[in-house]
Amino acid sequence: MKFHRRQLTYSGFTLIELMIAMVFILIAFFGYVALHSRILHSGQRLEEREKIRSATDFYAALLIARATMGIDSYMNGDKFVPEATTKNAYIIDTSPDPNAAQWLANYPPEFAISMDETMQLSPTILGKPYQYQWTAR
Amino acid sequence: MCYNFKMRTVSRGQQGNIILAALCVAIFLFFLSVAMIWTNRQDIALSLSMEHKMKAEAAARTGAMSVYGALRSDGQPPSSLEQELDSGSSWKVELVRLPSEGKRGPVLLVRSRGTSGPLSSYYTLHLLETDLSSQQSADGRFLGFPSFVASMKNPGENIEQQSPSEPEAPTPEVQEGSLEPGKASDPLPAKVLYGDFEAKDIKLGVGKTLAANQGPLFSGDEVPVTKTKAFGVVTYVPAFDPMSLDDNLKLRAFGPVAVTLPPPDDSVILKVLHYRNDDFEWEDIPAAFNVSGVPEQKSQDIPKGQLDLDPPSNPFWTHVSARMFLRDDYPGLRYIWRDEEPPSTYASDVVLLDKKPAEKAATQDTIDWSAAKKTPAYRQYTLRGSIAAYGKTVYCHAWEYLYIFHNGNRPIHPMPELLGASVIRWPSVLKFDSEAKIWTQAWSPLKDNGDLRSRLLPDPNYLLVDSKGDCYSVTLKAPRKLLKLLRNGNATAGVNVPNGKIFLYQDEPYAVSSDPAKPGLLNLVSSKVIGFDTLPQRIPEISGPVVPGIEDEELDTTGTSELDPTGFAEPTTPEIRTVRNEYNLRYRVSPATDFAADGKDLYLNLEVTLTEEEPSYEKFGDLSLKLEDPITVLARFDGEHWHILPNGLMAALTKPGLGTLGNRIFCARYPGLPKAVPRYTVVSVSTNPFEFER
Repeated sequence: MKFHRRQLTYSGFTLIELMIAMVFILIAFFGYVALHSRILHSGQRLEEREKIRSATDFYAALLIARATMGIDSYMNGDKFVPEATTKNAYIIDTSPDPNAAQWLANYPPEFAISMDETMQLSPTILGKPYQYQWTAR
Repeated sequence: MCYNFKMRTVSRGQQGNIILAALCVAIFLFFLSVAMIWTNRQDIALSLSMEHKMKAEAAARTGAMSVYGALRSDGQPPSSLEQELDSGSSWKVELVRLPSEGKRGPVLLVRSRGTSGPLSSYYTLHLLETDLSSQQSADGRFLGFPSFVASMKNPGENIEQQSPSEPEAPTPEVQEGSLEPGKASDPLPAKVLYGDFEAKDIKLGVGKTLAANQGPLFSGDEVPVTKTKAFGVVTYVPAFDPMSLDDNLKLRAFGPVAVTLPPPDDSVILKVLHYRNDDFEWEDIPAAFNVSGVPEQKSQDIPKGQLDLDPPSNPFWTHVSARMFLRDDYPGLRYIWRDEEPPSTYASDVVLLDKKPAEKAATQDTIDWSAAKKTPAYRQYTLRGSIAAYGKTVYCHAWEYLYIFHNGNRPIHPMPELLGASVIRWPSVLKFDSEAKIWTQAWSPLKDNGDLRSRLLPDPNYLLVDSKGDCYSVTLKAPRKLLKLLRNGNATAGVNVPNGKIFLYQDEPYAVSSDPAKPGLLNLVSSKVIGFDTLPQRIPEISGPVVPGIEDEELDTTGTSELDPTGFAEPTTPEIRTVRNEYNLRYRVSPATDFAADGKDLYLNLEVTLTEEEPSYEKFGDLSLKLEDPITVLARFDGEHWHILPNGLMAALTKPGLGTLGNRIFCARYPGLPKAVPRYTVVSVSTNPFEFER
């Protein structure tokens, strides 16, 4: 049997080639995996922010409603901070207080979330803006 | 066994390049990553934009509320219409003033734009702009609503405009409590407005009649007869006149003696309200006794002797006279005016003057008459009836007493007339300049010789005055006609006047229209009617899709699978319901209202009646308006539009406590009072969809 050594040598990939290809593939793969992981984390983060947003929105709406009705305090009894330049106006702190769970328990469970992070909108609200009477301006 | 390796040998080109393949795989993974980022990009963008949107919305709301708050408290927008907030957002407000157009009054748009990052959000307030006055004068305006005590009485003069066929219901008649000026210890409080719409309670004693027009407030109040000073005349009795001797032949009186006339049936004292040092203070207006300028008789000059004119002891009254004076201690009625009209034109009206003609005898002149003959007629006055005002001058009905001096002729008995010397009483109108503090005649038909320029008698309960000084009233006798009292003493009767109050607005007399087809204010000169067509005639129905509500403290998610794909939280097949029916509105002048005019502005109370229409869809909820009673509101007419104070019609219909502040209304002006500031009422709130910055 005659064996042509030269022909066998050229029949596959060299180790170098294989290693380079592996490096390319691994870089791309790990990049993809890292990106995917990042995106997964980002999605989770987005979901948390959405909860923060909805809770802040809900909390701000409650506080605005209280000010509109003429109540000048938060649910825990703390007074609103008066706005310096406008009479009968308050700056609302829209970051839910630590005891939020107590009053949130009265609302649908969708809003009863615990938040490590809050969102500050700080709107200025007039007390009783739509309550008309002769003696108040 | 021999294998032909040559035939199976794969060349380099055929075998491919593993590096290229790896690159392709890497590129594929790269594009896969890009695709994944691309799909996640919207979530990221939404997250970022939602937070910017919330901040932008909060900033827009903050801007609108800040500017609205400043407008509401100061009547003026703040100096800065933009601001940066701690949250990183900012707001900028644009004010757009929409002038009156058609039936709509002025509207102010507060358009606030909140910006956070690339996003902007808009919050627009539509503000109804109301004001105490439509014009800014140098003097502040003072609108008052004195308290009153209402009692039920069948009114004879109340006007039914809308439903004349309906039986007249008893309506309250305004009766005064202890509102007499001067009784500062116990005046009833009055609600007053000046500068803004903050109703203040002040102790403001006011009289029965009030008057003000572009000037201070005047008050007129009746004085009880027992407190009225009586007129007296000083006359001379001839010496040795048998009638001056008593039964013992002693002289009863000699020389000047005092003869007391009866007190007037009614009398009015006037006061003027001043605004000094941030406080209101009444000042007495001196009595209008001596208008003609003849010096008043001093009390020490009043003779002690008293000639008794009571019948039958002495049928004679006087031979000559000198002056008139006021007596605090008049002993009683000595002289009686006839009740019928005219009250008295000649002294023959003296009752029982000629009771004993047999006792009369000729008398001899004992004094020099020449001075008396040269003396002009002498006039005295007592105020009565209602008052009117223009600027700083107050006008008041009065009795004018014309005393014509003795002409030297002796009475010829048994003729009852007193020849020459006579007292004539006739209606007149006086005016008092509160600055110069001078009484003068505004209308006096009585000539010096006792003749009349006009025999038309005004009703003392009605008096108006225009800017030229011409007065208006109504005839005392039926039919009730408009009476113009000219400054030259003449009077002209005009058109028939409906029953009820009359008032002057922009120098023209008005009454409440009695024509049910034309409700409103009737111009008594041009016969034009100021109607209510610039007020809303109906409240539109509110109907729309009804979204299921939250029940049992849980969100009802029923139907969410049918949500509109555009994202609006409304079912695609909502059920239309009517939450508030349509209402028709009718207006009429409140029967008990006063009318207060100041320049272009007229203040009065209107009654608003609602009638409900049938709903277009199945009724849902209860947003119905109150229908039981007409709602009485304070209205201002500016010459073109009606304004419901303080917050517009809808607020008056839906919010309790926004009715009128009282049926008695006056409007006065004072230097130093705060100028009227506009009032703003939110009638609509709109938020526009947020948008990216372009």
